[in-house]
Amino acid sequence: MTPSSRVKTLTIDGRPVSARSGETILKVARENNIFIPTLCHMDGLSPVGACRLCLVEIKGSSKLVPACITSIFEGMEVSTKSEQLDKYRKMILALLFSERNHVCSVCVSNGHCELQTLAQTLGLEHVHVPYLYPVMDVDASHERFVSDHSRCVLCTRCVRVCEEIEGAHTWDIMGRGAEAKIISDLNQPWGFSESCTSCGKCVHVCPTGALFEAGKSTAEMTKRQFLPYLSLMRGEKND
Amino acid sequence: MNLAVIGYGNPLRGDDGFGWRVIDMLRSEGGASDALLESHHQLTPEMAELLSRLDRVIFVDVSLTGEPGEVTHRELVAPPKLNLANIHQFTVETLLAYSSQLFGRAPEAYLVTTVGASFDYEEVLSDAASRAVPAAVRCVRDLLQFPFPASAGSI
Amino acid sequence: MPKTIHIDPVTRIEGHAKITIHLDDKGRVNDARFHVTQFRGFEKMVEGRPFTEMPSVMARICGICPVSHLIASSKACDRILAVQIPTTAILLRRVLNLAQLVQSHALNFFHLSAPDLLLGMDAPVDERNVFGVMQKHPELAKKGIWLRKFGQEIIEWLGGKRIHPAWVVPGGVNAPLASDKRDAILKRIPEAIQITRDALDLYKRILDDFPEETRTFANFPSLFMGLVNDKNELEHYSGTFRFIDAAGHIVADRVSPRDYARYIAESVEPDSYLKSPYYKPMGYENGMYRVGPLARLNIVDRCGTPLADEEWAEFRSLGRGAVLSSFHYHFARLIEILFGIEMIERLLNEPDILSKDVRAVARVNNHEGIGVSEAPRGTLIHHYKVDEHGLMTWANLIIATGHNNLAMNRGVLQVAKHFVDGKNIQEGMLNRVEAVVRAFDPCLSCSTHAVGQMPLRVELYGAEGELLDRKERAS
Repeated sequence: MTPSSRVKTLTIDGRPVSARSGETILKVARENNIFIPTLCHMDGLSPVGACRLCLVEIKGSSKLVPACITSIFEGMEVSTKSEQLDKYRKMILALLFSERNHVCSVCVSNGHCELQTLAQTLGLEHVHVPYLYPVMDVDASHERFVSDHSRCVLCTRCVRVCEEIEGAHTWDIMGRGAEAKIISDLNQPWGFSESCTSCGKCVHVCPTGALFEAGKSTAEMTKRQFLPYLSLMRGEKND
Repeated sequence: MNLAVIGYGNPLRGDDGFGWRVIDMLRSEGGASDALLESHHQLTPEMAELLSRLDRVIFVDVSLTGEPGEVTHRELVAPPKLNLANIHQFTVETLLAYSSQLFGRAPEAYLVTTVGASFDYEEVLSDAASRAVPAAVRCVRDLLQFPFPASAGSI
Repeated sequence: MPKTIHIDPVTRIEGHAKITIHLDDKGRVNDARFHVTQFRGFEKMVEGRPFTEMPSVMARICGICPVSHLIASSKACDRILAVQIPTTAILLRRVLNLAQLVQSHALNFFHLSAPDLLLGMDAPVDERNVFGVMQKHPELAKKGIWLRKFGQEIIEWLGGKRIHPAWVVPGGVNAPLASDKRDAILKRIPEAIQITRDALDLYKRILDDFPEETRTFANFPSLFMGLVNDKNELEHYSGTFRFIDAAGHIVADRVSPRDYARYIAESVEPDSYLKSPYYKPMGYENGMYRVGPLARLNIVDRCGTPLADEEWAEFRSLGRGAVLSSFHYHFARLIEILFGIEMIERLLNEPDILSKDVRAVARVNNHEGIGVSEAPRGTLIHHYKVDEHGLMTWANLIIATGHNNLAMNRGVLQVAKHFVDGKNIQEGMLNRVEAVVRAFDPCLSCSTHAVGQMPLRVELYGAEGELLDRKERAS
């Protein structure tokens, strides 16, 4: 098979684009500077399609598909914007905000938070569903880091970076639905975790202020982008 | 043209934070006609000094009477001097009078309001006020843009 | 037939409150109360949160004076870290605290109180307002604005242009001062001083016009409390507590803020959410004390800056012992503005002021922290307890308006007895009752300005609770 036969052509929002076979819609869209909102996705970690913010429409299909895990095909016609998508994305954000206790103004990540940025970008002005105001723990037992479940959106970036990059698998999810919760080891306080190497990768991939460095005050927690460099160093291919 | 949009109220008290939300939305949309965008807890006398340097200012506030969520605007006129009954606190008109009497000039001024539904201790707007935010933002943009906007009325 | 007069809300104080005056069968004033509905959820809300969040959370108690809570809260957090805070951080926090004092006092004097002072208590209501002041004293109104801006800009230059600055953090501050900002502030000092001295001259000229008010405005014996430094001078940031009695004698001195609970007890009044603290050794009845500008100037041996000290000498000559009339809160505020400006200049000229070493980093080394500062309205106490990981388990706050609660009720009662005869509601009488409350400058920050626009309502109730009379002021 010649390389050229692996090139597919498709349209995104009416724009003709070409891409290599096997690439995801999200990757192709980003290469072409077309914005699709994401939250659980992170370059360098395996995709899970969990947050559903990257849902797009494909002509000929009544189903909405997550752009981060859907591969392109020849002749595909993708829409990243529509009234329906806008409504669903806002609904997803509203549910995330209502499910836990997100108080931006006193949060360590205020101004550097992906959830906050998404709400601004997508124009979420009001949460129409009732807030649950759950009583959530803060785990400050770790020497260097704190986890605040009130701000967790269950994107599982921490779970994946810990398993796939650090190889420690300290983090995982316990429970289902609204009961779901990030746990360290077998639901022990973080500070007592035997497997945690204190590398801090989970803190820096966390999109919100759910994981942060101890001692940081309001708006002081900025996250470092380390995964792209790590991928480069490891010589991973860009596909 | 020196322009400003000033939202005021207590963002911890439900719909009283309406002005803040309108300013937030204008900011998130990348600003409005180079206008200065400000949110304040309350109007204070020193704002008069800023006002005197402006050509046009639009205040965003919430009111108590009327149909919740309705957005209205009106042109503000600095009171001609005294003989106004009982100005016990800083209103936008007081500020304009401050500006013109103390600093020699006052800007063209408008007040955009919606009617609030809930003033409880919370940081979220009521449904009605929340729906009014985009309308108020449009209203502010129109007022900033047009040289001679329509006189007072509903939108 | 007992009657109750309601004055609701008190206009022009920053917030919303209600005054009730209770009359006995003969129409004489029997009791008076200042009712406050205050948002007290904060103490409960913070349980389980990391203490490092407290300065930001506490600053949100008040949109009007966030800086005061920021200072007291960060000092309580410093105690939890239990480390030495860099000298420069303390200098900068002091400047911030004084800037807040200057701008808050300036708002009160030039804009909230000036109509009463300059135009007279009995001036017709449609003249006795800021417009009246502008017309009669335009330069003064302008200077008031300038002074407000002076304080406000220092706060912005130090802490960033936000209503709840996150600049003050446990262990210090999170950014040093830039030299151009320091120079800009220093350049304005002479004008700020001149404005304040002019205002003092004016105040002293008009003081004689208010013999009745100075005699009756919450003019009663009470204790006074506040911070003094190690030279017994005016202190707003650190120092120790001093209590004096009405005769000016020291009742308790060199009381460490950490021991506040041994000297201050709090009772909860059934009709108000505000706690009423009193001086514990003397009990609830006799332990009433006042805090704030008047108290601070009463307890010190001198201010500690040259110009303020000259004015202070004059202030102290107003009374034998302590100055008791709350009317002199106005004088006290002006003196404190002067002191604040002089002290800001002194602090900004300290050699270390531009140092980059502004933050100490540490973990929880102490499970309890008490932070005290002098806010514009008086002593502010933040008391936190945390678990071994630094999560809040308990908090207690005593705010200035709380300290003054018992005294404020006493002051309202005193004026009411003097001016209310129960037969008719006179404009001048209501104004005086309100003015007493305003003299204490209570901060009722949790109100909305929209609700504050409600018209002033006066209601007269009979013994059976029936409405006898009702008067309303158009707003």
